[in-house]
Amino acid sequence: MNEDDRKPDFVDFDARLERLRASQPGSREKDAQSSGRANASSAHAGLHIGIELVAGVLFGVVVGYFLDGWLDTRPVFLILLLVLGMAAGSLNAYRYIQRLERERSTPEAKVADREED
Amino acid sequence: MAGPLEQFEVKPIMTMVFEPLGLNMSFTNSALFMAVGVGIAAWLFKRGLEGASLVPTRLQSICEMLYEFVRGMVLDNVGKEGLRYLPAIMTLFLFILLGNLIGMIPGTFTYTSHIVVTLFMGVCVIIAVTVIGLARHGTHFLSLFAPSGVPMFIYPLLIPIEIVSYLIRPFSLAMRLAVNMTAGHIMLKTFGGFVIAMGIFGILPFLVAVGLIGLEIIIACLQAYVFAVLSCIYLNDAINLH
Repeated sequence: MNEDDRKPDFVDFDARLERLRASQPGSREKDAQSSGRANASSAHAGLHIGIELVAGVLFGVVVGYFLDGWLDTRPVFLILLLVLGMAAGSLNAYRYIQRLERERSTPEAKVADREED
Repeated sequence: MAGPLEQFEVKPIMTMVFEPLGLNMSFTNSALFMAVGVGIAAWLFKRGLEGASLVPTRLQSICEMLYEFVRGMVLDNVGKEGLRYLPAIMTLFLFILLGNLIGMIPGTFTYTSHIVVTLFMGVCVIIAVTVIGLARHGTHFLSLFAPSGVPMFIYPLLIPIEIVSYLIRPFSLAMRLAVNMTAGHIMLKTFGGFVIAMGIFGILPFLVAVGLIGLEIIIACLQAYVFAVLSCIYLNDAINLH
């Protein structure tokens, strides 16, 4: 919780620690481990984006189909909501990628803190 | 051999049909395991916090870790204002987590693999978020659908897209959870079937299945976390309107 007032002093510390770790012989194992974790989180991100896109299309089709059945206007809402759903799904996927980028660009110290919690 | 999809079948344990309204309110295996999940959560917190002390017992530290984990999640994603809604997020997280984990025990029923259950939770979240947003910001909440800094002539196209993208949220929440649970369980069942069918070579799919169970337990926890985190993010949109 007091990470905010602690952080400025630690920026330099992190950089030095990183350099030290890179020069140590036993660091390769750690690297492999963290790259494995990065791979897993990339797979998760890919799945997330895929589901986001599919959910948009599915939402458009389901809601459009039933709205048409209810209002007796067969393909109008289906087409309209399908297009809107695709656009909205892409928008959600885009927002997710933006959030991911924001999280990746924050210092690693914060991510580590959160994982420990 | 049982097909890989049979495990998702909802079977009534106690048939109850309310004739006058034609309602089928049977107590099913899905309902049974929901009750088990809620029971475990209630028992854990009742027993764990009974004689709460400064040096926690094992059960108490489980409770404390769960609580602090969810609290940290709400603080990170929503801020201090969100703590008022911590009980709701906590309930959601525990219900999904226990549903996913109970499903990992052979012979049980995974209620979170049904889109009816997950979509209901997703719709509840989105309705709650909308009501909270409207109550806190009034009609100003609707500015969520009209981002600023956009040329006037784009609004007729942009506003419907924004509204639909808001309405999609429960769908993508529900699908993410249900698809992950369903896919994992089908995969486990298929490999389990191979173990028997391949005779002596069944050791190979058996090894794969052992690895898959580990992966499934990770996914079970991860999906509960993802559902709760996304609920927090949607809550954040409603509370901290930009």
